[in-house]
Amino acid sequence: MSESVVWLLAFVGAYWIYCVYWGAASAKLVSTANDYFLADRGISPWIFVLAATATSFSGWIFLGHPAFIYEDGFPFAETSIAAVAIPLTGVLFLKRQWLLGKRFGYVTPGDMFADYFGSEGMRRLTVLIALIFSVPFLAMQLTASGSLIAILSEGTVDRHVAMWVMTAVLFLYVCVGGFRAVAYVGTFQGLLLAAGLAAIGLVAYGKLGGLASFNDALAKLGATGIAPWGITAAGYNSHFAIPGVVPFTAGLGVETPAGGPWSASMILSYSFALMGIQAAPAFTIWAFACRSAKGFGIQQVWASAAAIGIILVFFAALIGMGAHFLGATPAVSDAGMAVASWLPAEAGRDPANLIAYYIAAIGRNDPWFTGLLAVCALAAVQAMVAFYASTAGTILSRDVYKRYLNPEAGDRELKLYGRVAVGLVLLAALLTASYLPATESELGALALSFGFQLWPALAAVCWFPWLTRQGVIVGLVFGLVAVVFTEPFGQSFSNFVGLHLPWGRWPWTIHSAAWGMFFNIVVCLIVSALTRGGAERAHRGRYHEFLAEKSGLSPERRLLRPAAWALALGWFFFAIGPGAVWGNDLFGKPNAGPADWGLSLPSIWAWQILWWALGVLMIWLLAYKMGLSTAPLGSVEFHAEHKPAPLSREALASDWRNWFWGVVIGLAALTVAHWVFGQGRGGM
Amino acid sequence: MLTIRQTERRLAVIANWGLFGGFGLGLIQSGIRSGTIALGLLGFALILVGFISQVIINQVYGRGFTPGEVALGFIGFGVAVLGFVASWVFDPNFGTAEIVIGLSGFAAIIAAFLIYLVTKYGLKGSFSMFHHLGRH
Repeated sequence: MSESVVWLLAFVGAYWIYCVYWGAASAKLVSTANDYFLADRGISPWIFVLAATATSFSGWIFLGHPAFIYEDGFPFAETSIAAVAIPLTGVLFLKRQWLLGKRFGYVTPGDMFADYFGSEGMRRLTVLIALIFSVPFLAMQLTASGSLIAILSEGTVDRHVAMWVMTAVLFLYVCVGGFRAVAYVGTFQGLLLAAGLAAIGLVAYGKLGGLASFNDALAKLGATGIAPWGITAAGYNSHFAIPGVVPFTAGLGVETPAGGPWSASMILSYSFALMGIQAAPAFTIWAFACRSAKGFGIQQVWASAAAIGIILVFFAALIGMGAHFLGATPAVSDAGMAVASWLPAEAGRDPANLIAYYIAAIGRNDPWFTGLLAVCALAAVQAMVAFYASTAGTILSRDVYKRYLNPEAGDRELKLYGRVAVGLVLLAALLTASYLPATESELGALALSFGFQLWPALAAVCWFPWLTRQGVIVGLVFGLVAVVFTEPFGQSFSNFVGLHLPWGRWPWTIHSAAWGMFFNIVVCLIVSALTRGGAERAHRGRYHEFLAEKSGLSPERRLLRPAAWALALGWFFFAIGPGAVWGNDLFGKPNAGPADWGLSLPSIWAWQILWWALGVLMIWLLAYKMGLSTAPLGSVEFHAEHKPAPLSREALASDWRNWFWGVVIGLAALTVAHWVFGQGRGGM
Repeated sequence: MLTIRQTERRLAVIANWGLFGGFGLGLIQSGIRSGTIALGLLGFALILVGFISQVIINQVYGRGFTPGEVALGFIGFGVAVLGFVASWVFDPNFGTAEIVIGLSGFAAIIAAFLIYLVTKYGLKGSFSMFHHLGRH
């Protein structure tokens, strides 16, 4: 066993002791079910800032983002600016959800939606989205962490063993300490995430010989056609230029877009999908658990947009693009453009594990850092896994067990079933990760887009009383269906019943999140217009009067409102929208070299830095100057815990009957369709 | 049993040292191993940042260092100084870069500690505190 592996095991062991310690310490503070599920609504602002940042960015940023930049170049790096877009969801909705949670005593997003819309259907849809978000998404994160340990331990620890043991430790502290443990451990995880990625970026910077040397290398690469997607229509290396605004291709798997998939439409719609992170049901629980609104602005503006933004825009680009010149890309090395032969060629062949290869390379000279950086990566992954497992447990326990199975359940039973639900969610994620890798990637792809589909529902609750129950529910269903059929899961499903869709994944290089949102909004608006008015409108108005009283703008700030929204739309257009294509060569042609680069950087990178900085300014304006994330006006008293009117026995029995026969008929129809229409494909 | 406020202070302190202590010690170790003075000094700088952060945490939570923290700090510092001196005396490969890293780093920590004492208790108060402790 090498010195690196010894350090790895030592650090991972120490980290696990830390996690279990905080699980036990949190358990001492748990007495009621609300303590367990919401930390008694007492999460401090600074804990929220660090832990919510960890759960917003987590493993996909740490492990996935630099790997995608390596593969697809600066066009993908445009999505680094999503560090501003992701918290924008929070800016719009978090404070208002927090206010509603305080005033009406909600515990889950299902409580809030069902109460506001007066509909149990919304509760069920929220549970569905929460589960689809949680299980496959967690499975993907667990797979990534298992691979990381397997690579760093040089095969000493099997990927599956690592995954199962890590999940067991995670289960232990989440199960024992509840949401408070998740938040407490999340603070350190947030710090490790940021520090680890910055440290790897700094090492890459050093190995590349500084910015001037890196720029020279980029210039040489820009003058060639060495890139997986070749040359764009404008004649630039596809690593350095967004290939167009909307390439009208049939979708990945059916028609390959020239110059790569990261067109402006793809960047914008993928950023929408990422905005689904803070719209997901789990994030609403963050809002309900916070003691005050003080941390919201700090998390959104300074921790996410500014700190994580700078790490992504600078360090992730250095890590991802730098890997080409550090030995990971044989074609670059063969052409004499490599600065050093530091990374193994396997890193290029297995880009999903690029960060693991970086850590292993750092550990060759400094074995201590193998352990420390591996813990940073694991912490990033576990932050999200623990958070989603915990919140899924809360939602299952409150929205399913208490609402439908045992309305009389007390604190003791709720905590017990919350713990059982956490175990079941983690077990489902583990089994999916271990035995169903294809299902994991197909369902995991739906997660973010599903979360984003809750935007209209959140907009209705927080801003627009004229969006009706019928409009939001029907829109949401249409949105979810559109997401499914623009992702591989929908393709597999339609193939199963013998229906071969003429489009592939993400037609017109528009992400499923945007396809879903298009249908969602159109249907929501039409149905809302048809069903407006009535007693329900007055019922919804009650919530909005409260919100207007507590979070309304002062008269002088109201004048700023149109300017603020125009600024935000303008930012979207130029930073991650169609206007981003101007960044391809505004500051010099990518293939002309540093002499032609106006800001001494490739034009697209300079554009990203510029719009990231303006994005921080924009979100600061919205969060603080427009008062979207500041402390509410006047005091907000916490009222008793929300207790929805119990469902009658007859209604429940009828519900169960409907669900049972609905599922039976649905499965029967699917089987018949597969038998009649899907047979031919099986025989081919 | 600790109150929530005490628990949160402990959380902040442990997270602070987990971050700055972990990276700081790692960089000191790397600096000494490779003989790179800048790297080693960067490690000590992180340890100092950790110390300053803890002072800020103490201020926010309205209390000073706990007796356990003081004891742990002195023991850790003492062990590190002893290890450094022992290496200097007994390790024939201990070079100038290692000596510069160690002496500068320890001097910076001592200076930071003295500045903390003087700003918190005043010159006379700091001396009286040691004098008082020595009599017990």
